[in-house]
Amino acid sequence: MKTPMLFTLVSFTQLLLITILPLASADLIDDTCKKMPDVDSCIAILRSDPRSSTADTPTLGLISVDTADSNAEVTLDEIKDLLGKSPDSKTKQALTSCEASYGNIRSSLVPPSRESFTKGDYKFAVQYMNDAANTAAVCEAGFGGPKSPIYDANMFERNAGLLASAIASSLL
Amino acid sequence: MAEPYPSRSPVDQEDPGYAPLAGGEEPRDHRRPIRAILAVGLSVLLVVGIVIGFSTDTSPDVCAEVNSARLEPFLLGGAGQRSVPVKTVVRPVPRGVKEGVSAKSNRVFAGANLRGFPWNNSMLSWQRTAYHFQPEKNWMNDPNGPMYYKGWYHFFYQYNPDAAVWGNIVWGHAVSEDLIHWLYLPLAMVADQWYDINGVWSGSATVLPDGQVMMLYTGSSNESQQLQNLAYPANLSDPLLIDWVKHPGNPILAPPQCIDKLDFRDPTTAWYTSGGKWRFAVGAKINKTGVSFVYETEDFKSYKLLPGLLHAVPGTGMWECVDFFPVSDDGLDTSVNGPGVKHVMKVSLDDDRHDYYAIGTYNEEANTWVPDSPEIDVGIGIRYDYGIFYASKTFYDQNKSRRILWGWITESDSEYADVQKGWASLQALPRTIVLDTKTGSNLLQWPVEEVDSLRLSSKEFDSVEVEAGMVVPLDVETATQVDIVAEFELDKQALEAAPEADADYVCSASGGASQRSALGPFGLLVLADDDLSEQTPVYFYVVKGPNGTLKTSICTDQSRSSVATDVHKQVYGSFVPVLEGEKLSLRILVDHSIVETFAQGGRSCITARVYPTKAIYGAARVFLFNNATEANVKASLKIWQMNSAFIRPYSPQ
Repeated sequence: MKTPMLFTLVSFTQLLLITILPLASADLIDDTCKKMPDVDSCIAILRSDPRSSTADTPTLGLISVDTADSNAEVTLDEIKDLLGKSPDSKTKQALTSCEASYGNIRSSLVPPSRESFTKGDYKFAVQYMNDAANTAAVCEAGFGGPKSPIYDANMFERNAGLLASAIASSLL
Repeated sequence: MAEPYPSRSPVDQEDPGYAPLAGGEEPRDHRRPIRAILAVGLSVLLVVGIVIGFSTDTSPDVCAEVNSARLEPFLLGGAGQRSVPVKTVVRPVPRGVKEGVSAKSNRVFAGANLRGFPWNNSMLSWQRTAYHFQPEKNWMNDPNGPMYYKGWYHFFYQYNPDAAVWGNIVWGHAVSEDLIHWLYLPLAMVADQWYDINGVWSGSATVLPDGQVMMLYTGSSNESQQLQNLAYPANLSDPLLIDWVKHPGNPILAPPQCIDKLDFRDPTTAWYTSGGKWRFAVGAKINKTGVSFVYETEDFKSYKLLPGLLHAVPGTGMWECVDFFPVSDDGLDTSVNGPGVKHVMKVSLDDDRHDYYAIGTYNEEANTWVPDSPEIDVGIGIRYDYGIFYASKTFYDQNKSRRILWGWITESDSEYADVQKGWASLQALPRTIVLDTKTGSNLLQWPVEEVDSLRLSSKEFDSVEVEAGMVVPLDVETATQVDIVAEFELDKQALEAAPEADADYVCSASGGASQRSALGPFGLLVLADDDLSEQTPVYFYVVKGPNGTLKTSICTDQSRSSVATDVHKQVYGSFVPVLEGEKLSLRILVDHSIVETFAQGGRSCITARVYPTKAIYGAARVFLFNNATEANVKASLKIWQMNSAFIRPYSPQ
């Protein structure tokens, strides 16, 4: 029996496994993100969550929803701060409206989207997360100018929502 | 799965006396067989590990039947038994679209004009309907288990008891003696078993000849697996069937091994075969091929998965809410079969949230269904409704020997507004379904005759001439709850003189009612205010094709239905067959935020959700309009005010 050949086979496959297995999940993030409209934003959002290295596609979707939720939470705090600084009436009106919208993202759009990803009825996440993205866009537009005081938050929310929606769409 | 290393031939491995390998390796010492065994064992394990690693997230383990040569063409899109290339999708493609008018996207918002609309309570509370089924509050989706039993029509529905968005789904229940005046009953089933704790999802009722009722439904389990379950009434002598029992032997079915645990739902009503067994179908998908399986049973407790597939169509994705029933010019019991009986296959496509049907033939012995016209196979051809209409389901009404269709009508406003108003979704009016014997190739849908009992006062308008470019107000009082029946005739000279069009007309790619041509658009403006700042045109559009043939479309145009920007603005509609000698006919039922349109006796239907901010309450009007450039139109119509159905909780007399 050619045992030296077998040992070579064994070591080669061991080496191969060591390099391939982690790449299998990294490939999923890359595969998922290259189908997305905003590849860089997708990679940034997904890789920043430790779950993503071993996640399947529905879990990547959940990660995006969670990202939209935690950003909404942070944004609500930012809005409260800004409202506390006595802004002019137009800004105040826009901030108040955004406060209600972001509250709605957290209470009404995130829970069914999570449920949609975990239970496999993905069309609801497609719609609700798309609407979360639109909510952020509407909030931004409400300030009138080129960049609102919460521009970064709005853009991030929009990207997270669109990503979650696109991932759900790819699972249909 | 590719092997990472070229495999050695058996001859080499069996012949220890073979010459040493290139590279000067010494032959291994024969007196150390344990190391050899270990090495072999390890390498086998590693290869197995690689195989497992590479097989995750690729195609699921395909069931033996599904992988048979007979079915491969279906699943892989090969030529197989088809005479047309399988990837052909017969959907209207925007051709010859005028410059500047692009195919509308489904996105609610586009561009910089984004604004949330400041809805107030007056506008929002107007949106609730008067004679369409909806619960008192919160979210509803699919119709479930409709049936007629001991003098009552029963209706169940997917319901969220906690919010005006989807989630936490349980079964709502209502009863009616006439399909119109519904009375709310307590929830029929809640998520209280491990096999449906994550959702009591859709299902269907089978009423047995001996009066038993078998309710098959999908449960989303504690591990989010989709399982089929059986429930039945606790007390068959209670005509209201208030209490339901879940079969102790649940779940009755788990997904077959080739089907993903999240792609297996919505069991149909069962049909009785000539072999004395009951069969029901369930939808699924394999890669991007929508499929339907059939199970057979004698007692509704133990089941056999029949080999093969009832049907499959590549490229259509997940098949939800499969429905399968015989059809003729009259209603037929679900178990009817025989030579010359046509069967309808219907699917709800997850991919585009539309309901499609096709007419074909069921071979009971082979348990397969074949469409009459494969180029308009189910999922790539005719839709029940060209607006918002999904998860629909029929049942056989043995009370009046008719087949009745229910359909879920979701909202097309923002979830924010739904949460504000505290509810979301309606059901369409129940519709009778029959085969259109004049065309033979489509169904006819029509609101059940009991809807007519809601009609109150009416106004008739006879032979009203509407010249090209004109709008004619119709003097009815407020037009928020109306039933309109109308007939139109185009003037013959204009028809003859009209030039041949260079392209097909597609409602959804058009400019709506403001895009003019020689022979259209013309029809009615509903939910319009006096100065037409808000209006919802429902119109015919006629084009002349080669050899002078006329092609007619029916459309509903939402683009100016509301000044609010956070509502859908698309134009819905489709081609509608018009036969020689037929006038163009319409029935439109307006009920606050829903407009249901039936063209040519129900050959094409369009349901739209409309959210005006000004054309509400006393300000809602209706007009005739003719925006054609050449043709005059003569219209005759009757408009009834519609009563409320007073849908309310049941209370014993």
